[in-house]
Amino acid sequence: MKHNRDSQGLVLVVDDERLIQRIVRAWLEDAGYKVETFGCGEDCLAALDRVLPDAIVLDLSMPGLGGLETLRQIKVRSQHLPVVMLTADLSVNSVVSAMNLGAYDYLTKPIDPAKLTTTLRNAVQHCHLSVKLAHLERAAEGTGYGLTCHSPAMKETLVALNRVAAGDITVLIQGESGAGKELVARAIHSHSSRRDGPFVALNCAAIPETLQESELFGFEKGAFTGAEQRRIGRFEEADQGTLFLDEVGELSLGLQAKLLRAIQERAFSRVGGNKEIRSNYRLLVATHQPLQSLVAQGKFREDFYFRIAVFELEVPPLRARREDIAPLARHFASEFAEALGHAAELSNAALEVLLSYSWPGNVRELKNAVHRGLVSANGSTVQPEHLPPRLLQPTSPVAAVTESSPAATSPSLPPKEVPLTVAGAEAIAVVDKAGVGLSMEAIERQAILCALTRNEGVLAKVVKELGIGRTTLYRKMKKFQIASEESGGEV
Amino acid sequence: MSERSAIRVSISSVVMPLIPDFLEARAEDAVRIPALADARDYAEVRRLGHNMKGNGAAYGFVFITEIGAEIERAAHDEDGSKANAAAARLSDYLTRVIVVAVDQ
Repeated sequence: MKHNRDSQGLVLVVDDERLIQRIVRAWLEDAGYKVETFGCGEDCLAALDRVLPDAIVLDLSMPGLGGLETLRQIKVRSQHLPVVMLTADLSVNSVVSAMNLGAYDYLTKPIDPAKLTTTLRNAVQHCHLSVKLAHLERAAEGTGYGLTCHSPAMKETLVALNRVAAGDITVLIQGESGAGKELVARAIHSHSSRRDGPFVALNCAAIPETLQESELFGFEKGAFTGAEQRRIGRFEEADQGTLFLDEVGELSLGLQAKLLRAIQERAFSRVGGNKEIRSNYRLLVATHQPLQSLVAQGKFREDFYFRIAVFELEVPPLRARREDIAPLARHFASEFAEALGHAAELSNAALEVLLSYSWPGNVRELKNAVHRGLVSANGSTVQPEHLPPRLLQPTSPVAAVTESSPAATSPSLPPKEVPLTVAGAEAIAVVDKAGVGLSMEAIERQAILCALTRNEGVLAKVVKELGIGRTTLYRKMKKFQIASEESGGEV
Repeated sequence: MSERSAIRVSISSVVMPLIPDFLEARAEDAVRIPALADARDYAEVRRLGHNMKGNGAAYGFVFITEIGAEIERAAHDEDGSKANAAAARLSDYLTRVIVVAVDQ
């Protein structure tokens, strides 16, 4: 994703005059912005599929689509994105029209550099504040976009979702099975300009390889045995809406090549047909697999990966968002209670059990556990014994942890760090040797240390394993005074 | 060019790298405009004048913005002699201008 938080922001400059493009670029880059320039509105709109700018500088008078129509289409895609219009003549009605269409401000040519940079600075701040306000409103409810998000990890996901939802950019949603990737995809769709269009989901892992192509692209009558009538595929179904391809890592290499062409050219043919079909959809994809590793192993096309990984969104595993467990459990309980036709309440003891489990199956597993609890309790308050037995086993994944030999510790860890080895692959202590419960921070610290050791200090692998963003990892490492080789020993 | 007739223009060091190309392109405009006016291609003369008007001051050359406005107006009136005169003044200006970089 071309969005650099270290810069003042990304600004797209759209003007058919190269001289204006060059001078505006020079001023804005000098002011600390990243800049991309375009000669026409069409190119700018196409770029919005791959970048998330902080502001756009748009010439009012351009051949082709023109400034006003370009502005209108930008606003449909991203309402909060500030657009500063450039105009050579203040008297034209177009300036009024532009402001009515939602332009942030306008500047007259010849452009005053000080005015340009001041206006852009205000516009970018305005954009960030709008996004932040929308996020805060949703976070205050604790259920932003219909997602439970009391945990810092999920709030971080929500911020990213908030930023990406309105546009038309392709999003790669990554997370473990059951973490809620489809829910996130649906949230993006329902908060995009395509919300009134269809949301078409396809789980690539659930379709046999031989049927994947016809499922995606459709087929013509007689295309193969059993094709008694023409059928449209998911790409066509998603026209004017969103196409969500789940478990995209399961697609064959051959189909990836076909998909790459279909995505790049927005055109494809049905199986057994020659007619080129066009569909206007937004693409969202998801996977629980490390696609970059698959690329390295030759199991996933690199060009396809780069085409779909325009914006990567991590959905944290439930173990990384423990603050959400109780609210989620209560939510599911009330949902099931309605269906079961009786009251449903979770006892504190049952909640304790839920909170102490590691949830390898994530939210889906939690939902099923609550369902089972409610059915077993049969209208009375759910107690621990009503929950699946595996949750109660002392050897559940959040069990014992033992101190390791110093050799097991990353050499970059400072001596004061307690070296840890996990008794099981995922084991992290939740109590100390005296049996006293550890704080959430202490558990988090252990999780990071274990992940650093397991991944030999490679932070990219650590963030993937823990299901958190790199910024969060740095923040937590600093907070817990954990050093790593990769960060140069400084956190 | 004598020192006395030189016109000094202070330009931000930020845009200095763009100046040589900009002035070279304006010199080409000064040559093209009379030929275009002779051919009565006033639409193109107007476009060149309009662009000069929009870009000149942005690059730090207020005179080019002013002369661009004159050329645009002359083209609008289809007044070839005025356009030619303005182009000649532009050409003269370009031979006399000296750019001085200033830090902002």
